[in-house]
Amino acid sequence: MADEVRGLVDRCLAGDEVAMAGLVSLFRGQVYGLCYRMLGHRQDAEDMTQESFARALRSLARWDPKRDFRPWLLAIAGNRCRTLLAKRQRRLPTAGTTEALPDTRENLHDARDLAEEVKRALGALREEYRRAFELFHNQELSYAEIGEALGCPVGTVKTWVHRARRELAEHLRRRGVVEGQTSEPRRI
Amino acid sequence: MNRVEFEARLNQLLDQRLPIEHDDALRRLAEGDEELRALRDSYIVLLSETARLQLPDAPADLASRVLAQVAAGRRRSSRARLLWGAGLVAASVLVAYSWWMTGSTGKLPTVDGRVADTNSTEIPTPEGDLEPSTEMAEAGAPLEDLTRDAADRYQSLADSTSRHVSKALSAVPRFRTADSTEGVSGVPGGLISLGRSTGGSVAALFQAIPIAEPDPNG
Repeated sequence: MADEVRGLVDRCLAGDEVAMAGLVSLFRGQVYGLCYRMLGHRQDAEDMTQESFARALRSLARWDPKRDFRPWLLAIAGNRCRTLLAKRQRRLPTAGTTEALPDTRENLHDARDLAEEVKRALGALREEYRRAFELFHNQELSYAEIGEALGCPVGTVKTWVHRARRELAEHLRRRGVVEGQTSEPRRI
Repeated sequence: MNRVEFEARLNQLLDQRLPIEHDDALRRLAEGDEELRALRDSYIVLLSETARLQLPDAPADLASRVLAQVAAGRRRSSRARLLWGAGLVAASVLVAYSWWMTGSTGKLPTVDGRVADTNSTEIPTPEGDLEPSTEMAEAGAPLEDLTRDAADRYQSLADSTSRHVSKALSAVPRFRTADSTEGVSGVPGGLISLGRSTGGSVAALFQAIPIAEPDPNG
């Protein structure tokens, strides 16, 4: 993988557009996933993914081949997303970006989809906790990579992920997802 | 092991992406404590459901969009480089030219291309003879007469302007004296110069514009 990436990067530096497209294809899922997890908005995530790749391709000469390419690329994407989030905060200083869906149900026995319940719980989390949690568990980024993307120390990322887990588990327990379970959780 | 320690163990396993279902220590503890069992089960549900969360697909034409953006950026930057380069060259030429004209000779250029000596007080005069006006040349008047005639006209107009200025100033109480000439001489130098230059300008204007002579026959 590393050799393949280095080969692609060398060709990109020589102006090979096929190699550029190859590099985009190789990492598009991870970059788009990061952007989507950070921004929580499909169109913004698409725009930032495109912007991140364009920026990375323009700055390829600055990448140190002794280091992994993925953290470098994800750091660029994280920076772009943070810039957009900061702009959003300036525009809407009090409004959150990801709104929790209203839950009108009396209890979970009416629920048809457990995944929806998890989504709801995620939507109710603090933004930082949600991003860190999703990047770790969904995108499977390392704590160091998340720290780079979110622009914060690894220790902070760990704390956010741990708190997110606890709050989510607590939410599910309160909602009766595991109520009366013995060894295996009940699926609704 | 209390709840805090139980959660610490859970997080330790999850941080290493290890399954919590198969950890013996956690299972043993959870079996003897309802609360810990519920906590463990909620973690299991959470992680299994989180893994199922769908992510929208990245746009199919992402690569082509990125390449188009990169190409547009290159065009912009090459155009900017070209403009900067042209600007730099133009500025360099200007600097070199001005250095050559002043720094190397210490002299300033004149309108007709000759170079003036900045240390000299002499004012360069254009080469060649003054051309008489077409009207006078056609009349066949000798050059000396024409020059004298122009000088007379200039003097006459300058005197006339000076008289008018003197008269106007004498109307102002501050400058009014018994003799109007004294009044003019009492006017500050700046105003006299102004009057003279105005007179000169008017004279030059009259020279440039053909003046219709009054018909002696009425």
